[in-house]
Amino acid sequence: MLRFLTYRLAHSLLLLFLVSVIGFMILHLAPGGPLSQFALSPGMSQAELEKIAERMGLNRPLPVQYLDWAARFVTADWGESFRDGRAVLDIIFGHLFATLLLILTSTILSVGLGTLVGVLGAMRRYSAYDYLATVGAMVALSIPTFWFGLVAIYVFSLRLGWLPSGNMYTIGDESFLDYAEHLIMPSVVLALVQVAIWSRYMRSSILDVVGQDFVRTARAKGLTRRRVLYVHILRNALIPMITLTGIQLPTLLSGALVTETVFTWPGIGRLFLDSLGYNDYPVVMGVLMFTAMFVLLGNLIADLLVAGVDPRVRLE
Amino acid sequence: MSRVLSVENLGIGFRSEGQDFTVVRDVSFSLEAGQTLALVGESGSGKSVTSLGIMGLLPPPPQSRTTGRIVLHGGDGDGDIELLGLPESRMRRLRGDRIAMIFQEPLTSLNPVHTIGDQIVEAIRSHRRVSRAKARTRAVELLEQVGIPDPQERLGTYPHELSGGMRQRIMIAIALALEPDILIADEPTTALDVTVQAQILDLLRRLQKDTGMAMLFITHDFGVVADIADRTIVMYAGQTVEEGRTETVLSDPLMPYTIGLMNAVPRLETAGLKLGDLKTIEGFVPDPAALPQGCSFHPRCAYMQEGLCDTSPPSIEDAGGGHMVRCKRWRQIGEGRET
Amino acid sequence: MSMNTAPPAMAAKERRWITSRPVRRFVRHRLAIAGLVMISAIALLCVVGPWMLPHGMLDIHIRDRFSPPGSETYLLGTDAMGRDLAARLFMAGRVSLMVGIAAMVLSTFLGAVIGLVAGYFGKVIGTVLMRFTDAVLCFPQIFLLLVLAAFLEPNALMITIIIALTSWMEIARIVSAEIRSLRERDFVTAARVSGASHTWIMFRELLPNTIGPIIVAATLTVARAILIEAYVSFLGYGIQPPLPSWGNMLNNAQQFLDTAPWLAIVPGVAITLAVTSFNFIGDGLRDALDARSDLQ
Repeated sequence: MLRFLTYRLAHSLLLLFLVSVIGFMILHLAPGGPLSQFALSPGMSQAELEKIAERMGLNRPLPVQYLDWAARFVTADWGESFRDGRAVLDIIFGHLFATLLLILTSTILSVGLGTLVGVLGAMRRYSAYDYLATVGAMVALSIPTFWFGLVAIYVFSLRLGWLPSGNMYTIGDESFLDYAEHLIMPSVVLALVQVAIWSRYMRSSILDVVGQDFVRTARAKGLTRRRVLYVHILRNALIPMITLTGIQLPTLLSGALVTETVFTWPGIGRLFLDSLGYNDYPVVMGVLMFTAMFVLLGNLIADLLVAGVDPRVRLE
Repeated sequence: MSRVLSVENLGIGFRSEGQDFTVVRDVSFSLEAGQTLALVGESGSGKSVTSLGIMGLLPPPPQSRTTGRIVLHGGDGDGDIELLGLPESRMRRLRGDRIAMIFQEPLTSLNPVHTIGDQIVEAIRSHRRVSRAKARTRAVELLEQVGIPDPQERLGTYPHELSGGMRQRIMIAIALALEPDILIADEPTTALDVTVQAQILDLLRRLQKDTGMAMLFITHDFGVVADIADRTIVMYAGQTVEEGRTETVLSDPLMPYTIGLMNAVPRLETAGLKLGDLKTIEGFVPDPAALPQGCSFHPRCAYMQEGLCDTSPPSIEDAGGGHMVRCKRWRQIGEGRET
Repeated sequence: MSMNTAPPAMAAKERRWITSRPVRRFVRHRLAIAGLVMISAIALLCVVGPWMLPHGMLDIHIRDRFSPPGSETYLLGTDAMGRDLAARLFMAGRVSLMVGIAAMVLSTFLGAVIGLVAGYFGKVIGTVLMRFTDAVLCFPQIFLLLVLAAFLEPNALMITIIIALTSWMEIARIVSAEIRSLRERDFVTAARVSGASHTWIMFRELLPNTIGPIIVAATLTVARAILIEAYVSFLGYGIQPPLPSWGNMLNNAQQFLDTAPWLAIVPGVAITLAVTSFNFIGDGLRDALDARSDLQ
């Protein structure tokens, strides 16, 4: 177990290093590079720019600049926003709650529904239901999330007037019910793709387990169908799904960005797009790095969870 | 000696991709308390399917269909139970309780994410209303019975922490948990190495003596048959081709397929000395969807006689004293041996 | 051994491989055929459609603004400037499909080469490349893509390149895993013993054996590339007007959602149909080419 932990941690640290290198390279892609902040402001002469570059250490070799940048990163100094001068990390944390609320609600929804659809499909393999679920999942994966959001707004807000078309709460209300009302459409729209993915993987994971010898043993012991399903099949079939949840995190975050733009949800995705619109590069880069680290951490947690529930992993 | 199970004219077929084929045809036998019957044949001969049919573990119709009769005879006052067509809820209660089964792969036959204690306790508690503590006490007893050291501590271990032989002992403990009348053992020693194999066979023999259960032992290995079985049935392409007391079948085999299988047994005297002594039967078990005309074995048979063996299927005949043979030439084969 | 010809036995085997079971299985796959028919129809409409309509995609009819679908000469209605939606839809389809397919070709090439090199040279190079792949995978694709699109000049070619740069990882992983399992097989050892070069072994011996999974992944990549292009263009970072794409047609649709919902619905349906087709085809190809599905 200890060896497994050390290995996983080392692996994550290596990935973190590579992620930061990629981030650093992208930063230098920005128009004007790290100087863009000043290059874009009017009335700045070339000489002044060079002076600033000197002061910022932009004349030093790239590896040195990287180390400097990385050091500031590690010490939580992610720079300040061009727009309001606030610390980037503060701004990100200010938007984190909204995104977490959205992706958690949506994940609970999609895990529940996806498991149900997938298990039923596996149990009634090749039935009309199974066929319908398969086709349905493929169509769901083909619908552009942002467009689905627009259609949902058109139907449920504009035509039926049942649900608010955007934002996280009504100013002046902010009750639990108000939040819930605002949360329904974005989380369902975001869940569409996730349900499709979950149900497909769940179905094939169940089918993998059903064919294994220990399921036959469980039936030979005279256990009830219910017990065979819950205690022996589902328990084993869900283990790879923990890993899958980790792997799907980037897709989930991308989906959250899309959903947040359509529903003007004040999360990290919305922040990212706004900052992009204002050329607020420190915030843009900050969010990009934050999401990558979020994914990294999520995968690490998923691996540890698998080690927690699968006794075989502990020895490897 | 009391009869605990009768199988009469058992037929089992499968449907796959719209095609039907029969894998077990007209198989009959019975099991007696305290006795062991061996089902012998290569893989694909229908012996494992037969055992799954008895357990009611075949896929439901229309994917599979079973014909004939399987009767479980009542032990103390219960009436006979016809297993074929029994509702799943009643069949479930018999499984593991009156008929138990162990399998070939002890590595994969135990659930990797549950402790062995839980897996034994679960077997007990799904049939008897006993407390968890009581079931655990029984589990410790069982582990002791199957020769596992420190049984109390073993309860908390996971299958992958044990060796193959140990895992098979756990499987046996689970199977014996409710003192079944019948134990079906499907190649239980095939995946184990030779010394462990001998230990497991010893254990099974001893447990049978203690409990008086009947055993249906499925194997392809005549060495194992000689070790454990009272009676032997040789199966080929879903049919019984030879049947009798084990000594009779082993010392005086009359069906060429049996002779071929026996030649394929690596004898300890010759093993390692001359590999050439180990003969295998050429060819393969026929595809159940395309059985050869006449005797199913004739394309591979060393004694095949054209015009006789490839025309009509042989029927099963008594060669004396209940030694049954399905071969048109068993007389010549028997005489040939005596001279 | 001649370096220019494959052994005849292998060539014969490949021929049979192509003409027999996989093709039959694909044809039997009703969804895949439906997808193939659907995408062919869409592509045909996009190619010949604009010539068969009375209005050009840029013709502005200010008096006919916001005509609903089916009115007079406007099959699918008009937009805020009175331009014919059908004409724009077909032209946009050309752009969106081209970008999707080109991005697939580019990312498949990138992924296959990286996966091939990583899988073949195992050890150090392989580990470094695959860890790099893992690191890129940590970035949610749309975030990465939007940053690149904002930093680089967006035009059709650049968007294609950016989509490819952010979607090669899956194919790289698939190929590297396949190559690693193939590397130790007899035919590779035979080629190595006979003195074949690394390049020969990689591209002539190994790559053809991974073609099945690559084709499947590539088909699904087209589907995803079309979705991504649509989204990025919807946000204004992708294909720039006046060149229409299915994504940038939706650009202004949100603000007219109440009064002219067809502006949002029509391009969205087109995207969904095209993407569904590629997903169906990919599913059929997977069933036809994946050896493992033999067992199920």
